[in-house]
Amino acid sequence: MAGLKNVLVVEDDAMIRDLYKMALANAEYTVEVADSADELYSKLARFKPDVMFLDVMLPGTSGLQVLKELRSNPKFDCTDIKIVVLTNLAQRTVADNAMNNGADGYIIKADILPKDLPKVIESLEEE
Amino acid sequence: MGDKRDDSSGRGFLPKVARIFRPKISAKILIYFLLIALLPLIVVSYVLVTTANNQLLKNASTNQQAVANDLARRVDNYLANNVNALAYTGRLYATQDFSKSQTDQSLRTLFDQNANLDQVTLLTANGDTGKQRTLTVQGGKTKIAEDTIDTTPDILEFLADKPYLISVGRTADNNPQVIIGVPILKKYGSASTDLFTTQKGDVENIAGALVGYYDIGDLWESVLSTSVGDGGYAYVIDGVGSLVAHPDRKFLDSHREVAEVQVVKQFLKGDTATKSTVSEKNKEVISTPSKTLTGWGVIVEEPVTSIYSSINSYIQMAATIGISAVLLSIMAGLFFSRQLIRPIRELSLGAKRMERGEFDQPINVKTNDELEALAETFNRMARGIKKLISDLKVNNLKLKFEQIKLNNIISSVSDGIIAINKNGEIVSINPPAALLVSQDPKTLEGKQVFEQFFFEHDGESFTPDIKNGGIYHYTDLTAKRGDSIVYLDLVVAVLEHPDSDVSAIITIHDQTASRELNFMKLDFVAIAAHELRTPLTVVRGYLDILNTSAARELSVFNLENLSKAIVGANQLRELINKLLNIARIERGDMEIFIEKLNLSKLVSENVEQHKSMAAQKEQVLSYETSAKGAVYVPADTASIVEVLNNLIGNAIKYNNKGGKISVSLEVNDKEVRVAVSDDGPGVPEDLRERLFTKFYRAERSLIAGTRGTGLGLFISKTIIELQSGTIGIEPDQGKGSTFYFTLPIYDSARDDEQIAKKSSGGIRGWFKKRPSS
Repeated sequence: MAGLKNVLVVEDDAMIRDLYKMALANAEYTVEVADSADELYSKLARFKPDVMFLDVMLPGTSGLQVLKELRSNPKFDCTDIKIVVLTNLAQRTVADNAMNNGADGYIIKADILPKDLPKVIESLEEE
Repeated sequence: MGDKRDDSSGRGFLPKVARIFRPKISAKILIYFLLIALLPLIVVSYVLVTTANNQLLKNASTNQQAVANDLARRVDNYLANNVNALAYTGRLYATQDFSKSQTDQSLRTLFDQNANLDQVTLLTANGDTGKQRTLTVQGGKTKIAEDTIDTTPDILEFLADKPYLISVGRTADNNPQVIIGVPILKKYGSASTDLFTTQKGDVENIAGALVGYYDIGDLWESVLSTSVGDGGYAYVIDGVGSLVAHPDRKFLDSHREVAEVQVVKQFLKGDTATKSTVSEKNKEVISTPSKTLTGWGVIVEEPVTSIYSSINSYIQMAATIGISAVLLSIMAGLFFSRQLIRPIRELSLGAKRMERGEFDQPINVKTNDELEALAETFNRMARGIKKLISDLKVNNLKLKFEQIKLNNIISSVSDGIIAINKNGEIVSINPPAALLVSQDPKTLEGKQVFEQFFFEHDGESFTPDIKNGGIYHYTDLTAKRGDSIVYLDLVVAVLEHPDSDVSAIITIHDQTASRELNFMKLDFVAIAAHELRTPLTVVRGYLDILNTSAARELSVFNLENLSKAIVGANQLRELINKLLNIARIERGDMEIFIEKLNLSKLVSENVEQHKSMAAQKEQVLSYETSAKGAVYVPADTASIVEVLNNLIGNAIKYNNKGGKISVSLEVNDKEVRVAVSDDGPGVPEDLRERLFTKFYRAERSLIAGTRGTGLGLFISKTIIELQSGTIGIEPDQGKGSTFYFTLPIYDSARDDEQIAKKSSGGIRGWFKKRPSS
């Protein structure tokens, strides 16, 4: 729990969004959520996350597209934050693609337990 | 087309010419008959004529010699008589010392006795003067003329050496005249005075001579009228070639000397053989001379034509017979050839009918010989051919039908079929095969099959073997069709003994559609599983939160219920994961992310996690290892966890209540071996082989009512083998069973390259990007 305090969860599935928010809140992280790219961009205007969980499937757009935008456009001030991609399909090629586009890791939603999310953030702190 | 027809008629020209010059059998037979009839006739005639010629010549020669000798003797006799008569008279005159009247009387007697004596002259040498007394016959009266002339001593001297003297002369009217002189001796011996023994006079002894002049014309005409053969005659010459007598009076009158005539010439040289020569009248004759005692010659001759006249008639007869024979043999030849040809013509016509395909009319030959047998054979052959043709027609129809059937089958099957010859050229190809290369089947025929069809296997060019006989199956081949890739199975049937032009048949089964269908099926499974996962994630998430945060608020009973809900949710997750894995394995995109994995730690933790599960069946689950410290392997953590879950889970599931399960980890310098042993009922021998196949579950588990998909061991096998390990069950030891897997030991030099750039750090579902080096 060194420097990574603020977490932003971008997930269109409300149940999972709430689940992740609850798990991370229980571990005393500052959690904000967004259910779409648009909401994400508006959230970023007033919230500066240290870690972002970004779903690859977002309504109307692809998480990868958003990832590229965040990493390349300095106006979002997200070029150096930790971004973890959430994927439902165990299509690891998609995940690999994400990592090549600036993701720091990926989570298979079906396999991870919410209580492990703090451990994921902790592992991100270990460089 | 017109040109072609011209060619064929041009080709037909030569045989036509040959046919024109080919003699017909009838002509041949005619020629044979003529040869048979004429050849012996000619030979026999020649031999006979030659023999007859020789015989005739011989006969003529014998005859001529006889005649000539006989004539010669007659000449000799005639002369001898005259010589003797003269000699007798002379002797009388000398010895009786005749008076003049007595002398005259004796001379007259001489005349009387010889009608041909024209004149006789008595030459006397007594006294100094010789007196010559000449008697001539005139008009039946003998007139004696007496001249006193000088004795010619030459004659007397000449006669003194000889018993007589004969010479030939001519009378005033040109009649041949023989002059015979005999000596009158002073003293005669006792010897006879015939021609052959006439005493020779000598000069001392000679008293005179008696000379007679004989007209021999009339007399010898009768002598010489002897005819010889047909048209032959004889003539007489003296010792120097003067003609003495000749039957042809005119010739005799005009010729005195015949010494230049060939036969005379020869005679004068002493050759008296019969000769074929040229006569005194320049005619072809056979002539024979004969010598008289006086040195004269009698020459007998016959014209050649007369000698051979009998032969000529014979030749004529032979020619007549020959011509008749020719005519006869021509007639016979024509007859026989007709007889012979007729059946042959029948046969020929019959054969021509057959050539036209008419087999119904039999050949009718009733010659009762080989030809009839031949015709019979022909007829049988015709019947046989007719039957064969009808059979062939039926078979043809059948074949055509079969061909149509086969063509329909081949063109209607969806599989591509290509028949190739031994050079690899396409002999026949059906539309589906041609469609693969987007071409018309006709244009592909004759082309090299592997220059038209390109196959790949695992991204590499692939060419099936078409040399060695046998049937070959090739699967998982790909080929390009346009821009897309098609998946193919090939069956290549290479004929062991290629009889015709087909040496191999390639069947192409397009697997693309079924592959796609299968993929759709798998996709459906995958999508269904994913769809299940999302709500399950939520369920598990909330159960987890409940378990961690709300546990202290729940009663023991509800805590237990919560725990059961968590187990069920986990089981559901595992099942869905297995389905997903199967789908991935089937699609071939099971992905493995190799990392440097602390296997001993992983196994140990996994055993701990299963302990509560084992405890529920009152089983003892233990772990032991000979390894000191961490054992690293290059492996995919999540998948190895799955394998361990499967093996340990199975052991717990299938072992009896209260049984023992021991997990061990052994390591050597190459590999690590993890074994899970139980003391349960074991696995029947006959099931062991099928254990690691898809959807297998030991039957006993069905009986025992234990649930499971039977997919676990299949998935585990795939996972372990993808990571260069082995998995299996140990041979039955009598009690329980032992499942094991091995993995290679981590080797940084070998493995670092492929180790993924992410690590899970032991958190399930989380993959962290490894810092790039």
